[in-house]
Amino acid sequence: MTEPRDDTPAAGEEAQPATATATATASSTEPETGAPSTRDDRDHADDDTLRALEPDEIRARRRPRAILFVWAWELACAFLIATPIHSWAKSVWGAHPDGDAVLFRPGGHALLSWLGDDGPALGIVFRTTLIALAVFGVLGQIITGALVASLATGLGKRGRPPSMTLSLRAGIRAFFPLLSVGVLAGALEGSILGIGLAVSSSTDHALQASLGDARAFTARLAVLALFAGVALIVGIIADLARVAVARDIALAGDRPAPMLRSMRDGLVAAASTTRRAIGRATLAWGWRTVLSLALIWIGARAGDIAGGRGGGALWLLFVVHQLVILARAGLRASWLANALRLVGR
Amino acid sequence: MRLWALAVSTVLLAATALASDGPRALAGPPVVTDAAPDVPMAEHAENVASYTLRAKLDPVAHTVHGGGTITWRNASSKPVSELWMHLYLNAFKNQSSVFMRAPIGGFRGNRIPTDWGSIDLKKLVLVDGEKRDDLLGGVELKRPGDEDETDARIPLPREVEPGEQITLEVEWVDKLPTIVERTGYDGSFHMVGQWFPKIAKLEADGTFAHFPFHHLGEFYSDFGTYDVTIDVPDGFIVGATGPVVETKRESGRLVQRHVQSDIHDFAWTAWDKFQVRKETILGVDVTVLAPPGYDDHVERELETMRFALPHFGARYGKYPYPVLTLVHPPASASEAGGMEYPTLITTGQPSWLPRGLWFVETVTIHEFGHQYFYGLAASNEDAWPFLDEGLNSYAENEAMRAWKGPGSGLDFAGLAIGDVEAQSERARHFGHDEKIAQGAGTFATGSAYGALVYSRAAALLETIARAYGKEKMDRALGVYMRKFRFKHPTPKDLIATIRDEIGPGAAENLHAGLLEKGWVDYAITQTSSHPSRSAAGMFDRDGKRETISPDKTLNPNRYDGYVLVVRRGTLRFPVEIELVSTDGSRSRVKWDGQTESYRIPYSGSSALRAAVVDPDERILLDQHPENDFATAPGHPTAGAPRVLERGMFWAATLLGGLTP
Repeated sequence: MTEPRDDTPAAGEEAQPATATATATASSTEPETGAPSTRDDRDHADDDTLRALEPDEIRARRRPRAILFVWAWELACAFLIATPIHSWAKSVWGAHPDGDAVLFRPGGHALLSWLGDDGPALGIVFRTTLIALAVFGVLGQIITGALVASLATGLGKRGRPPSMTLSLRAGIRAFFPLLSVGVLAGALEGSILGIGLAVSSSTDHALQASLGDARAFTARLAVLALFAGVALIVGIIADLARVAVARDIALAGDRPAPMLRSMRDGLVAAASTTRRAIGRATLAWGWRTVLSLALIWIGARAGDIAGGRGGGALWLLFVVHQLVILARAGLRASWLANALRLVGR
Repeated sequence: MRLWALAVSTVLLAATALASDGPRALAGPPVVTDAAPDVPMAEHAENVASYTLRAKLDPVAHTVHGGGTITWRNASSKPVSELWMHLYLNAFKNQSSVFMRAPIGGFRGNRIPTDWGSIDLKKLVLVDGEKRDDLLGGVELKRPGDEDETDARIPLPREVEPGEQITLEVEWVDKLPTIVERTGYDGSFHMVGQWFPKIAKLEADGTFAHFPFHHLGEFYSDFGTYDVTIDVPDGFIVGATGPVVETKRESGRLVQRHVQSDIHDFAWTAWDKFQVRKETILGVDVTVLAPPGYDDHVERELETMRFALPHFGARYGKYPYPVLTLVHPPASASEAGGMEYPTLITTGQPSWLPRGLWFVETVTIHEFGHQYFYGLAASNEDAWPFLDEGLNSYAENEAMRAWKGPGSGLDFAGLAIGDVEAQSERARHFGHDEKIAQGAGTFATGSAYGALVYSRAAALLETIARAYGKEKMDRALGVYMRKFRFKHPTPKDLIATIRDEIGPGAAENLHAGLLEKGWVDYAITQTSSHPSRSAAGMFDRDGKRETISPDKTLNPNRYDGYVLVVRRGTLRFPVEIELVSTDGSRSRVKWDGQTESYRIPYSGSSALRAAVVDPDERILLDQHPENDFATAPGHPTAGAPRVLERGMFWAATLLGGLTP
């Protein structure tokens, strides 16, 4: 598949006005304010100047350290999230000479016995894990903001990556705006799916008498898929808004616009991009989603094949799984870079 | 994209490498061997109660007008002066019936019908040669203080002598309820079960095994021949017990006559939307009736029968009837699914259920299995429901595992869960609550009934099979089913067969497990391992006294120790104990499980690291599998690295979201 070229506006379209009005010096905590970053800046920037990258400069492959950082963050979070269930498994099955391999035996005798235990452990572990997932999911907005900052900005003429400290600082500043956009989009997507569930259920019931329950259920799925598609489009638009917000905050340095203005500007940029290039955005997001799901499937299948084996096989599985996580982080960076290019400047 | 291409390629290569030696053994083709070829079985049942009936369906009013004759023989050793007749549709007549007022949850039949059902006798005449006695006026429908009308007493004008046969002429009107507890209507779909006046089974001692329609109860009847003519509007498709011997279309009606001997009940269904598929399997004409759009399920049900007919035939004797009808009710009438009648079973499961979730296959095999345990053995399901449901659940587990391998319950998304493993897990939670072997009406809850009668009975039988040998269990149940075909066996017959074919230990465990809430929990409570030392002290040897100091007794190349295994509970299964040394070697010790504890001495060239009792997971009834092992003090445990690894992968996946 060919990467869509989006560094120049399509015929009849105008380049978007710059929303960022600042450049910053990497070594300085006080950003310089002044002229917007333009192609001119690229030619004249010195090596310490943080500038907004031109669309054709925004590439995920130019930010491997940022992607590795995202992966490392996810690895650390995953370790903490998995700790309750691991501790539980270790305390119950760890003394078995085969350890928790018994949980992976075909038939699932030990697995069912463990999960079906009458004690309170399952509930505690489940709730703790959910809370940890939610907490790290929320904190992940900082990492997304940092990743966008790293993708959208660069140092000097060559657009070298900004330091992780600088990107993280931008991510922290973008936390609340990104979270707010995420909550808004999530609420909207949830509402659409909720309405979709109700409408599809009604469709199912209305068609049962004439089509039979099997075909009515197929119709139900089709209707639900329509609503899910709309919810996914909303998610794409939300991503466009998020990259615009995070980019602008990164470029604003230590003097970001008020949160509501950031959000408004981001939403305006997303709306404008949607009108201009929703097809390209959907396509760019779509193939990465397919690849991402394929990677998850590969990871799951690898786990299935490895079963309860330990030792080298387990280490190999760990490597496979981490490569999947890393590749997905790369895909995410690639999508965000694409979204940045689409949003333009 | 080069970085991602590299990552993806590496992942694919690694996955391929891992795939080269997958751990899950797939089931091979099922081997069909006759479990008890030397045991003869009856060709036909003793004809006791035969029915020649006609039934006319009004699919708008949801009524059935029925009539005909019943011939009944006193097969007991005593004269009989009354009959007991089951009028089970009255269970749905009002909320005062035994069925409706039972405070039972956790099982099927919990919906109150939106349209009540009933059966009203209109004519009951005893034909005694030229003499005709009207019995209708004497029918005692209710007992004092009880509004239930499902168990009617009919005084006879004279005693019926042992061996004497009488004929009754009957007419009645059924009002079908909306689908409840396997019978009723849903739109134009009609499932007509327990629809005719049926004489209760007379026991050899001259007493009738009569009982009201209980929430958890099932059925018990005498064998006979059923000749039933069903009259429905043309355009309806009928499925019924027994083969069609005559079909007519007249005056806009379809009239079908079904005749079948050696059975003890008759059910039928009629719907104008059924899709029909037929196939002959091992000489049996199998018909599947299903709603439109269920083509895949129909194929899956036929696949199941292609496996089940030879498999069950080899184990429990040849299926003796020429037909078998599978009815897959529409989703809105799912309560009609999962039920058995002679030569007719109802299946179920939603249309979207994918392969790998073997619930369609499981329900089909389970209901087909009833053709043996309910249909051919015909034990008293009201008094001993486990003799049908428990044995049949074991047979279902055995068949599904033989067919689908270790993922016989579900084999989906990397999970391989066995049917019997799921049953045994459910069974463990109810082991101390109630007995398995008790009447259906005496269980405290539907959940306990389901877990004990179905799951725990099946897990008990599977445990016996694993502990004493599956071949022995195959033969034992093969003998039981052949010996007691058409004979209404009791728990004593089952236990005696197990004793004869497997041994007294198995029989005692079966008895305790069924009748005494028997349970068991094996546990490793102590392990010890230390360098070997010879004895210190003063020894008189060869006329000399030798003193050996403790610091000179150490044998650095040998290790001693022991493992203490205890058996809690009342069941005594033989088990193995696996001893694991620090050098990785493993050895096994057998224990008959008769005592309450067993101390196993250890001596080896390396230290004892850990021990496991029942390493092959044979004792499915073990109350606490998580205490079946221990690591010796001072040795590192194996831990749970696999859970950590999987947990981290899925946590990171969820954290990253499904989309980029």
